Amino acid sequence: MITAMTTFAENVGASRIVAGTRIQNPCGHPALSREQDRALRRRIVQTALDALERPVEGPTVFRPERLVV
Amino acid sequence: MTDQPLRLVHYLNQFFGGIGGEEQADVGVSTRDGAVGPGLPLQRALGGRATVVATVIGGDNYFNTHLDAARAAVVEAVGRLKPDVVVAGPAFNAGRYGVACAEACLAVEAALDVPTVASMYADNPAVAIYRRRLYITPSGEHASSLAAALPPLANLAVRRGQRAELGPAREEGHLGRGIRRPVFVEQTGAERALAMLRAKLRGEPYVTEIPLVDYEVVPPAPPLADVCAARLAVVTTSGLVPMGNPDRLRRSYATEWKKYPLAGQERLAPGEYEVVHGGYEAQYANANPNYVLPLDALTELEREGAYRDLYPYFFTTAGVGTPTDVGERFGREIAAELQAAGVDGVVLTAT
Repeated sequence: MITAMTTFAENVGASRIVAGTRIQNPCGHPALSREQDRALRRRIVQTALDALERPVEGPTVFRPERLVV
Repeated sequence: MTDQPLRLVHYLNQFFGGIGGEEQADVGVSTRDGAVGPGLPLQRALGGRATVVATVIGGDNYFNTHLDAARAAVVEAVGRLKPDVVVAGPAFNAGRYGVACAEACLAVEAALDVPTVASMYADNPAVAIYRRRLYITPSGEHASSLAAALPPLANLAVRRGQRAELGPAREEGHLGRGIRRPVFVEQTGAERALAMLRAKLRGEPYVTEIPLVDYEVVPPAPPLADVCAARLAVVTTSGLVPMGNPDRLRRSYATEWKKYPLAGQERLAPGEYEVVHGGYEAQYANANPNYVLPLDALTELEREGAYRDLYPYFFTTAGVGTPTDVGERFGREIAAELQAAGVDGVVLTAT
C-alpha cells in the first residue's frame, strides 16, 4: 500500500506500507520539476516492489529514500 | 390499547422445527399450530404479553436455493395467520439458517407490513449482510445458549408487535442497524466525557457512547520469492475513474468497486481520467492521474524487468466513509479476480 497516512495504515493493520508523498498526491509532488517528480514517483514504486519481496511480521512502513534535490 | 396478548408467529428451520436434521434440509415450508421446539421456552419468556399462535418451518437448503418460492410460501402462511409480529430463530451460528431467518423476516415486512425480529449469533455471516435492514437480537454461538437468547428476543418482539417507538439498540437489546438518531440530553458532552473518565479511572463500569470498530488482524501475506517473475496489479481507493465517471461511482459511502482497462497505455493522460472522492483535494490527481495511479513509473519498471507484467486492468473505488464490512467485501471480491488472473502482488494506492 502506498499512502501518506502511514500511521493510520499501521493502526488498522496494513502489512506493507510505503510512505507516500502527500495525501492528495501519494506518488510524486507537483512542486518538483518534471524530472524530479518522475524520479520520485519511480522511487516510490520501486520501494513498493522491494516491499513485496520482504517478509514482515506485522504492519511495516517502508520509506523511499529522500531524493537529493 | 388492547389488553389482548399479541399474536406471534415463529419461524424455525427443519431441525428446530422437529422435522429432522441435515437430511431434511431440503423440505419446503410448512406450518404447525402453536409453539414448537424453542417456541415453547419462547412462549414462557413472552408470558401473557404474546401468544405463539403458529410456527412456520422451512428447510435451510430449500430456503437458500429456492429463495423466491420460499419467501412466497412464508408470506402466504403468515398472511393467513395475521399475526402482530413474526420472530425468526435463534439461528445461532448457522449461516444458512441465519439467511433463511433474515429473508423470511424481510419478506413478511415487505409483503404484509408485519414487524419482525430475528435472533442469531453476532458473527453469523447473515448478520453482516442483513443487519442494516432488520432487528437482530444476539444469541450465543451454539444451541446450548438458547435460554439466554430468549429474553431479549421476547422483549423486542413485544415492543415491535406493539409498534412502539424504539430507543437505542443497546436499550432495546438488538445488535444495531447502524442508524444514529440525534437526541437532546441534560449534560453537555464535556460533562459526560468527564463522568466517563472518572468512572474509568476508578475502575467503575462505564458505557461508551461511540463503540470503536475492532479491526480484524490480518496476518501479512508471505513475501514474493522474486518480484522480477511476478505479475502485478494496481488497485486504488483514490476514486480515480475514466473521465465522465461512466458508471457513476459514488464520491463517498462506496457501495461498489469498478474495474477499468489500462489498454496498453504507458501513463495516464490528464483529461482522460478524473477523481470522484469526497475526502481529499482532487486537483493534483486530476491534473496528473499518475499521482494516484503511477502507471508511468510502473511501465518504466516493467520495461526494465523489475517485474514480469502488469494486469491490464485497474481496480478503483472511493475510499471514504466505507464501512469496514463493505471494504472487506470489496477486498474479497477483488482478490478473487486477482487470483483467477494469476496476479502475484498488488500495488494499492490510498489517499
